[in-house]
Amino acid sequence: MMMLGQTCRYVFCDTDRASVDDLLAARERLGLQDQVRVVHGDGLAETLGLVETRQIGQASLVHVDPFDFHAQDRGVSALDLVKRLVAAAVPVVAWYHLATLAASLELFHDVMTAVPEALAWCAELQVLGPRANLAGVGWGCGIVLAGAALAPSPALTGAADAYVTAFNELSAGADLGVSVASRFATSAR
Amino acid sequence: MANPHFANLGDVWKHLWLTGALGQVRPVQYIETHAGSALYRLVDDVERAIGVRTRHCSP
Repeated sequence: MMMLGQTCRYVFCDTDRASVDDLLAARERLGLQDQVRVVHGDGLAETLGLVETRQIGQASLVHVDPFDFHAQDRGVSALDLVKRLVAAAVPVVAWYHLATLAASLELFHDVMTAVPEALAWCAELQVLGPRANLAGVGWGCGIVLAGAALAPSPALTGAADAYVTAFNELSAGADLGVSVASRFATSAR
Repeated sequence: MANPHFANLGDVWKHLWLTGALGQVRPVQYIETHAGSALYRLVDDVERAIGVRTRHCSP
């Protein structure tokens, strides 16, 4: 809301009442009552409804950030929704945490298998070291960007590389016992 | 509070890419399926020290 302001319309979904109240308060505070719709309910079903009725398209951006991409609520999983959005050419940003190292790049591969013609990128951050558990993200995390408009710029990939380098230098200096390594994947075109 | 892991290392990584994507695309419509709160009060603990505080100290 602070970044795009009045230039954008927003739909924020959450099942947590306190989060919804906080979003409503932020909407008021920022003077975005006419731009922001807050949904107290299942964001997967809400977004699926929007894509099925063609109320979102290539000029939209959907951020999917569930705890579990495979959990199904009302018959649709977050993975199902991401595949559906990518197939409809709706730009998607999907964030995941790595519950196991074996799941590395899994979401990216699932999307590319379902929609082979998609343009997509994945940036994963693996967390290593004797105190890695203190970071609170399991084995790490990653983000899938799908849609031609989301091709990461050199400035963005450079910023990510710089953060990884800076983190490892800071961590070593402070003896945090945590290090990180990035891993990238891209669709083959 | 929907997200107890706010401002941790994963949250920093997510927002680095998300804000970059939003800046590039400037969408006319933005949707979040699992929004969480708009603001979180920053606390001083290990998870945030590994997360957002390292971001503040990096270039």
